[in-house]
Amino acid sequence: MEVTILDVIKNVFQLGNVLIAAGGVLIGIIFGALPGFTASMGVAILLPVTFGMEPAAGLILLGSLFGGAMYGGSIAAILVNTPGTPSAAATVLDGHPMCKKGLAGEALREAVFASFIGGIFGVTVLLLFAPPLARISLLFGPPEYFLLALFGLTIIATISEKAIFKGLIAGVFGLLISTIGMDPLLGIPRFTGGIVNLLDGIQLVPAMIGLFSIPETMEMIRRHMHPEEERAEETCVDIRSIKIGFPKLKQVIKFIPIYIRSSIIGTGIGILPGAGGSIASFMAYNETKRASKHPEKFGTGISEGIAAAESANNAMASGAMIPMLTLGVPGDSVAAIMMGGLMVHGLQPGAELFARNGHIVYTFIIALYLANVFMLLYGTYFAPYFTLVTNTPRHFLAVSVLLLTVMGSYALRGNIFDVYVMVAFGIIGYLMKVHGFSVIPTVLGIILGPMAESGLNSMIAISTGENIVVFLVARPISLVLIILTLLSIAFPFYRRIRESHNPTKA
Amino acid sequence: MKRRKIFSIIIAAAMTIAFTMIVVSSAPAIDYPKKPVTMIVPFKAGGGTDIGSRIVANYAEKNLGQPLIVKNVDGGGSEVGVSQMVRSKPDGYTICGFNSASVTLTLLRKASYDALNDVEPICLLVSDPRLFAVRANDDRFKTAADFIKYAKENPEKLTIGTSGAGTSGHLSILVMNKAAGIKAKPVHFKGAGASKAAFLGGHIDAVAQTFGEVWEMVRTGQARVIAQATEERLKELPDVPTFKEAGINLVISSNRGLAAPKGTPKEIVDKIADAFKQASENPKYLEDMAKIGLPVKYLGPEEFGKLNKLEHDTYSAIADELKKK
Repeated sequence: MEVTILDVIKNVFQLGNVLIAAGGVLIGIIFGALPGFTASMGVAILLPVTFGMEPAAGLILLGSLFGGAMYGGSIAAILVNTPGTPSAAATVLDGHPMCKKGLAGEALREAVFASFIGGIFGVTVLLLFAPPLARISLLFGPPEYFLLALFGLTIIATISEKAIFKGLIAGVFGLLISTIGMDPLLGIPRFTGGIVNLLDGIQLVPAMIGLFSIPETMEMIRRHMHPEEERAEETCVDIRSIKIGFPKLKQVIKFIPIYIRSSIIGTGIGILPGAGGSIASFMAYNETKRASKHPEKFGTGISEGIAAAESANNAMASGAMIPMLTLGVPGDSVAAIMMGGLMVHGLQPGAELFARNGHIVYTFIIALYLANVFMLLYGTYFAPYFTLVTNTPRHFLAVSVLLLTVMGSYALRGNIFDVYVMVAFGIIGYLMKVHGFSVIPTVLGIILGPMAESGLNSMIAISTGENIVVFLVARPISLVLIILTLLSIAFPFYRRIRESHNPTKA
Repeated sequence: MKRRKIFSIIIAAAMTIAFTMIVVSSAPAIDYPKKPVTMIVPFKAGGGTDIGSRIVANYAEKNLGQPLIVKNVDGGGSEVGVSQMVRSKPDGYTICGFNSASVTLTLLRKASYDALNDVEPICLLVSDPRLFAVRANDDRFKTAADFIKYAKENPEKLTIGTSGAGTSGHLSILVMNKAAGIKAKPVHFKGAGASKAAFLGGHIDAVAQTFGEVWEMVRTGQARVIAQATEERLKELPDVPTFKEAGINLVISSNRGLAAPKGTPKEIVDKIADAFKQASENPKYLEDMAKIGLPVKYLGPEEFGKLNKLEHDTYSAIADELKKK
């Protein structure tokens, strides 16, 4: 069917579709902001609603929700040190320290602006380059996923430069946690102790909520009980007058390389069916830190960190839809559910979707631009109100956060077991914090462990007895990933040597 | 309601204890269902089984006269949801999706329920035949015979993707290996999507997936079905031979049905089955299911039970061999 731009624009700007995009983003922000309520949960809940809608309208609802949730995750990350969705885990790194410096408002402004840029970038890539990029994504096989996971694990080195051994211990702990559950080779349960709920392993979301938010609420309670220890510089309220606005133009221009680099990483990881949003934002954060002239400031509360993580996860959302729409291979769990939504309407995702149902697909893609604009407006205008959270008396806030952590852990699968997991990891997280361990390497281990393990298993299977080194070197992408991993491991050492030779600059 | 209870107690007092139990247990069947029925989907929200279940629930609840509340209890390849159902009251107010995987998983590991003795089969809803597909441009394999011959000459070299370890796709490869005396290598991925990506990217030689999962690739010319693990050729694939025609006894489909806890009264099981049977005859339902690529096949309680038994027996020998490794 011939599709003209005018038709598409007319479709997009039907009042119904505009309202759906506006509503979808808002629902997404709420799902994203509440820890435990993830993008995939929001999309799964609203999926049956779309069965009765026009196909394009249904897709717009789910797509806007996806984007909104990617941004929404940053709100909880910044304000209460708990990523609202796994994709916002990297946002915590600088988001919450900024909040503690009294820059919560600025952090939120940067988060929504970066999300907007990442979103627009991703949608543009989806619109213009979907088919060729989807084909490139197919070049990634099991060895490449294994190596990508390995490369991801080197992020531990970058983010725990100051305490590398503690970082490694925390990372290995995460990897060990990820071995709980059915093994990927034969499906035999490991370390489950006969507990049925552990067959799929420790669920990332409750573990993450526990690791991040329980230590934080304990801290809140401790401070409430010992107000004399309060330090002015760690109040976590916006000390500047609360105002509505965008980040300063000068800063935006300065951040352009960060936005572009992170959006490319985000879209790229999104396209790969075996890697999710949390990996995208960590990698973007990592590369931004590495490229920065002042990497030592990362983690202390600077906007660059937020800009990297947030533009990456929103770009990832569109990236994940690329192989879903063009190949029928979803780029992540949310895209997988959206694919179900497409098929219910008799739209088979794949090579012919654009040709046969172009008007629907293009209406959907163009509407995503609109959804991103809504996201920017909501985020910008609501930011001052979000910061009110930090003015809440600490004893109320601590209890509210605890309530949310329980609700969120339960809501994930409707399973009380996940609440126990959350509490257990909360205790672990608190002990880690007390003893100076960062929880981020543990989270990375839990995320990347299964990807590395199943990648390695399948790699050995498909190498069919060939020498593994020869096998890998013969695959160009594998070779590149091996080199990147080696460089990534060497980089912190290189910098330390350089700094020790040049002490004035450090 | 109260009066009926008192009435039945009076009767009970007059009868023997054994007879009392019959009266009490059959009493609710008379006016079942009185309240909404929970339908557990033992898989993730948004997946194939979930969408299919939600669609059929829409139609079946009208026939049943009470809402069917779809609840996802995901985990362990359906074990978590099914074991929750098995442990619930056998009063017909909790039913659960029961797939091929729910049977096969109990063979591969010590599961928390017995697939044959702890459940009351209700009905089969979907039977998705398993097809072995190769890339359309892969000249090594023109026919099923080429495929088998290659596997025979190159043991452990023919790689076939599955949606995960212990899934029925995995077992179907093992059944094929045994039946044909070959050693094709199963490669496991997390879900059908990842397996499809590795297949299209040329990282593995073939996939063993259901009709619904490969049909689009076939229709758009990306993949070619090399052999069908069906009794007869599917009407969509009239030119592709079955494994049976190639001399290999391999008939496997991925079944999706419903089950209730053991001890659920027969009247109730029949009533639920009937509601789903009526839905399965509704042309609008068939149309909805065709759109998402799920082949509808209804079987009543007894036949579904027999099918589960058959799957159990077919796979148990294979599973025992696998466990020895």
